[in-house]
Amino acid sequence: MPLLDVADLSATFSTQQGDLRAVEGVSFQMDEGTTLGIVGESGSGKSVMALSIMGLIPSARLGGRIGFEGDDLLSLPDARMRRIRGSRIAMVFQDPMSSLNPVLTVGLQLTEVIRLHTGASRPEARARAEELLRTVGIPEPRRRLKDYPHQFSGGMRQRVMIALALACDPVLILADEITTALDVTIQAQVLALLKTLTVERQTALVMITHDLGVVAGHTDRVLVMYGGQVVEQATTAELFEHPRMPYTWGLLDSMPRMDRDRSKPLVPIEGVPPDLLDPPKGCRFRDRCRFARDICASRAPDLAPAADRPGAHLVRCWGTQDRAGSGWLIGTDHTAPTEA
Amino acid sequence: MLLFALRRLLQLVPVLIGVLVIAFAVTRLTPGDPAEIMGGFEASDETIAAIREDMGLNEPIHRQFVIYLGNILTGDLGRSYYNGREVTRIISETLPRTAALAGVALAFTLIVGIPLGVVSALRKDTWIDLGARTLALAGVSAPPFFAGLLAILVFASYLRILPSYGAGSWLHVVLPGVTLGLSSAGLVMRLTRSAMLEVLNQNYIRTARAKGLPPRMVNYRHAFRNASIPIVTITGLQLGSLLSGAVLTETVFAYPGIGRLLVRSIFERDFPVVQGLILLIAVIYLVANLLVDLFYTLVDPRISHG
Ligand SMILES: Nc1ncnc2c1ncn2[C@@H]1O[C@H](COP(=O)(O)OP(=O)(O)O)[C@@H](O)[C@H]1O
Ligand code: SF4
Ligand SMILES: [Mg+2]
Repeated sequence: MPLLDVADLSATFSTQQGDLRAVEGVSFQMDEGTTLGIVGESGSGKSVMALSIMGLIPSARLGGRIGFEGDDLLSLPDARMRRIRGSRIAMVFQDPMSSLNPVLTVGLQLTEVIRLHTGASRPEARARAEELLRTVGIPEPRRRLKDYPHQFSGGMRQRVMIALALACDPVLILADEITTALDVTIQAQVLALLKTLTVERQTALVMITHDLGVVAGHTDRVLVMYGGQVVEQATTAELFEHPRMPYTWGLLDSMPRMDRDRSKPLVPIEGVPPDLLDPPKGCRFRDRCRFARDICASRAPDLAPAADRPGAHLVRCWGTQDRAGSGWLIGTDHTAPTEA
Repeated sequence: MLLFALRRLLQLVPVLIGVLVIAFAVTRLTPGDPAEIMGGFEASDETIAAIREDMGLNEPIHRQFVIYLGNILTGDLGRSYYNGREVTRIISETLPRTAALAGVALAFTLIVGIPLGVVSALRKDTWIDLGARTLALAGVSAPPFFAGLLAILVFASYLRILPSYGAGSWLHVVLPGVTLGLSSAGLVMRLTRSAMLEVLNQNYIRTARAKGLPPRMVNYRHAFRNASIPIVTITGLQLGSLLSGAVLTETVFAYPGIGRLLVRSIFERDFPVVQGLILLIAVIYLVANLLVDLFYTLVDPRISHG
């Protein structure tokens, strides 16, 4: 049985302009101790998906199933869900500057979660908190427990957030854009730290990012999201070697890479993401896709095995699926794309 | 902390000097001759001249100011033109009554305003929220004399459970105190509600929830503590409007506090009393602000005072 089994997850907000489906038909599984990257532009539904797993968006209507350790998280009563949050599943957020309570000491913010879930005494919890700060590389941990968040730098705060997530030895950590708000120089350190600590503890890790570069070398598998849907899914190595979806090609071309000709300019993907209040009838990427054909406008493609990489790769694109009237991108190498 | 308090106290000195100048100027620049008032209608020109001489009103204005300053520094606020009693005595008799009134009003403000605001925020958009907001609106918009008369009508004339005017027992303080507290309670309720709603939207509240903390801990330890910073500011500043509200309320309830004393002294051109009261009110304002500042440094670790 997989540790996490998300099946046909959807999240819908009621807005003044109508229903907004931020996540639609997302399915994936994760085994214990594995890492999964979730990649997509801003607004593609990554955070909403992670918060749905945590049960932290009361304003959304959720559908589908989130299987976790034998329970369906979507139907658990509040009190049971609280016992899982922070204890079995933990989350690290994007903005370390605003994610810690400014008027409580770091020590209190750490010990309260330890005491809540483990029933440890005050001194036990304090000792554990000190050890956690040391683990995440904060110097003088005993003294720093008494400090307030504003006395830490951004990178140090994100380390505190990682310590918070690790506090009760969860089996799953959701890390949502944890380096986006940090200085470039610190990003790699924080990523490496989280990676090392989760590998040591055999903690499953979901690494959410808009940057494919963050996923490379850090995750076993990758989901690429677009407009609230999964558009490509493969192992990380497979995705970088044989990307099959024009959107992923765009992401790769907009990302600096070591293994590529430096003289080739970075090209951002033109156009804007689809309006989730009124999503296009056909392929959601069609307006921005250089390879689109008529069928892309009239019918929405399913997430299905890529014809040339079956078994290894799921893609939501007519061009790479082997069906009547489609498949015109089968075998195309994205590094030398030809005009369709 | 102590150093910070001392420094803040020192910063008050220039403000106090400004207040002294204004208190002095206001009473000297308003038309009407106090000597004539003291002498009464029948007084002869000679009597009035003697009174003027006696009161030092013939000295040049800057001399009068220096004398006035010197007196204040020695704790002498002068004597009432009206009945010749020492101003410090008059004030020390009257102040406790208004303090009791303001105390009841402040207690009412806090005990009613804050919980109502918190509940309203936690139950946003329910009928509880709607009810609490309606009450707050009524509290804020009812003018004190209207609310006061209504209260007298209901509790004193109709139900006959509380006295409607005068002073003496603590029962006399209840009606005017609550009346006085109505508008600040409404204001504090609204502010508490919006401060709580804003804090509840912050990322650190999401973190607290992500830790699995029960709502009670999220709402009080994490949210209310942060929300209390603006709440205390407004409550502290409300102390000022409680004082001005006291003028009206004391008049409606014929309650012999400093509000009524101020109104009477102004009509009687009793300059020393008016001056003393202006000084007193200014000092109360300053002290309230100082207390608010000190509270910040206790609750908000980001404010450094080293
Ligand atoms: N509370 C909310 N109410 C309405 N719409 C929301 C809410 N939260 C997110 N959304 C919408 O859901 C979509 C996905 O958002 P999000 O998951 O934050 O994207 P990402 O994390 O991939 O950048 C966006 O269009 C966003 O506007
Ligand atoms: S389905 Fe069509 S429009 Fe969509 S990505 Fe594939 S080729 Fe482009
Ligand atoms: Mg996001």
